[in-house]
Amino acid sequence: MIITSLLALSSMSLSLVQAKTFTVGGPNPAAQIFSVESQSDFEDFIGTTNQVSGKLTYDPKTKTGTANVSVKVGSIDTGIPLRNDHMKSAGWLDAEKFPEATFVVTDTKSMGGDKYKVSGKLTLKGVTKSIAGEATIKYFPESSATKGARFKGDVLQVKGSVKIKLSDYNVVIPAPAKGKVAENVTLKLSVFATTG
Amino acid sequence: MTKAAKVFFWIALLGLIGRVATLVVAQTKLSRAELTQRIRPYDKDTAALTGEPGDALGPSEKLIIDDPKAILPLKGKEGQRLVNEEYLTKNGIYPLQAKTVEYVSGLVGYGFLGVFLVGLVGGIFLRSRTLKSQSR
Repeated sequence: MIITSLLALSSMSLSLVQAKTFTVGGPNPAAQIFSVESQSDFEDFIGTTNQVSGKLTYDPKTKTGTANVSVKVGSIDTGIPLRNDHMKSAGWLDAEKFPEATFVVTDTKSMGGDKYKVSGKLTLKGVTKSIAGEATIKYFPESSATKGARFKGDVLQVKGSVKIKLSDYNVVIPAPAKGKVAENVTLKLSVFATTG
Repeated sequence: MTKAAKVFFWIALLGLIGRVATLVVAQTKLSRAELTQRIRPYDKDTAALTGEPGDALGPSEKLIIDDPKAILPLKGKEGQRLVNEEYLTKNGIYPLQAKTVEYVSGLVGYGFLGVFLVGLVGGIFLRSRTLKSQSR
């Protein structure tokens, strides 16, 4: 009985050890993308930024992981300078007072293959709410292919998306922009992270 | 026919011309729209590692791309043209969306339709009033 328990404990600790820590980044900063997508009758628009940082853990054996990723919201580019200024302003994201949005993923559930269901918390404009979404996670152990792509160590490619309601985060669409910006937007994160 | 009735009929004609012109311009623009997917392409080695051409940004949508250099030689899974988002950003290109053309042309078209109807109804009303007063 004692031996069985000890064996179980040692296998648990082994599986814990196998969770690796990855740092967001890679040889190409342009490949670290946070995007916000709005779809309205008038137009769709995408705002993107490469100013994404954070840490992830992933265990390729148990297919579980966590994430803590921050995004500089003031750097989001929508393709129109005036709209960028509006997005940074106090009425919208208030980038001066709340410079970062933070995603904390606490739970991942494998749906088979590279697909996962993820859940955690998003902090935007000082408001923290629970979120749930989908993600694709690809794990590449260090190899000639990863080295050829100029990555150091093991590589994790993570793509996740979550839908949020802007008003839940105190982002109020002003009257002139109603119909041009959707009340419900999709936030997407597409990053590479390495152990190197 | 009175001068006022003539003015109204001219307004109706302008509304009709405006409506037709809006439809023609919108259809000309829309005929150039193609189903596209914006992507931020990976370099060759990263594409080989991941098996993907790049990061897809936003949903597939119909865009009017005037600069052929923005279009990548590959096609998406559903046959969409892949558009290089980095090229668009670098060159300050903000492609026109088919849905924007449809939305704006719809609004403008209804505006011209309104002008046409106001002109027509006003012209007919003034003309019939003149005819009535002449018959008395």
